[in-house]
Amino acid sequence: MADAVATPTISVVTVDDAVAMQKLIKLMLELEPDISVIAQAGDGRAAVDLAERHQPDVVLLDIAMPVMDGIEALPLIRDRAPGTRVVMVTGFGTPALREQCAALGAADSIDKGSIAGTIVDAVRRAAAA
Amino acid sequence: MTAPTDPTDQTDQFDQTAPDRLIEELRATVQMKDHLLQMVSHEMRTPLVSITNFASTMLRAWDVVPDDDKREYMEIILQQSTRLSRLVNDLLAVARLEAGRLRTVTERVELREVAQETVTEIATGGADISISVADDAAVTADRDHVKQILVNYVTNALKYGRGPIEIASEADGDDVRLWVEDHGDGVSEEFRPHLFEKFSQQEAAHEKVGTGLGLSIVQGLALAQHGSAWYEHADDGARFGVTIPRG
Repeated sequence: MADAVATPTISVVTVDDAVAMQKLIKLMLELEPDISVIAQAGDGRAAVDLAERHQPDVVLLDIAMPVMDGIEALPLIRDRAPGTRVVMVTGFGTPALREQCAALGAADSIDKGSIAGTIVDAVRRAAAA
Repeated sequence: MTAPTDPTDQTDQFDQTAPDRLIEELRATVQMKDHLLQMVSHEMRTPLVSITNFASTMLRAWDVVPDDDKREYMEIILQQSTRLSRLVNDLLAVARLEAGRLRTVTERVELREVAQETVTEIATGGADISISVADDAAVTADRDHVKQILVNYVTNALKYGRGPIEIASEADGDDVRLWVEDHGDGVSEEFRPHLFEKFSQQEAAHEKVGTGLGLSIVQGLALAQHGSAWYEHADDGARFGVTIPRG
């Protein structure tokens, strides 16, 4: 009997201070067989700690958050989890903001307004990079 | 005969600074309009993202999402719809206040009853809110306006303050003082003069959330009851209140 081939799972840490958004992102990602949300954080500082502890494949990082925002957390995550790809999730992504995030090491940026159509592909693209 | 050449004669009849002041006022008005559009767009977009994406995702995955989770997501949709509804009501209130078209229905308002309704409506997740309003505390005012004042104050206390939160009142001559007290850090001294202005939001460690209209609405509603809105700072917290005539 051939062994079942396990689908490689992309490990994701999601970071957003809005509980509703956290639940929504988790719901959308965990409907996919190849994605697993392994931890969630509500602010940038907790995100850095979780990224360092879990070394996930991808971090989905909100920008506007209490304690530490996503812009401040991004380079710290890149430093503590060098193999982790960070995808920024913006409320209003301007080109300047996207460029700033890219310069700080973000693999991609997606907009909350179109999140349903973009988040899964963005996670897969980042994991494959 | 020659025309007057002394410019001083003409200057006395025309305020040279008027155009500059007018330009500044227009600039401030345009900035406020831009700020309002940006704020409204952001504040409306956030709950709409939750509502549309939860609804579409649940429809797509109805058969695989557990029933308990479905209930939770429906509650989130309802919660975010309520948030959106409050935003629209706030904007309408501001528009009516600005236009002087606020409709006021004056009656005897039992303050303890209004406080209890406010707590029932607003307090979720085990928020610690007590009521110290006497059974016979009452004012002559528009009941919906008084409730809106309390809703805005309690919402702010939950969002920016720290528990325990208390709704209280006391007689003050011909008036009643009604307030919401919390044990947070209160408002900084520099910000207090701007507290009840439109779009005023104290800088915090994180990006401002909310419309910045809540307290300006409170002030407008308090004035409509021939009363006033006020803030009192204490070492262990803050009081946000209104003084309304007993009538």
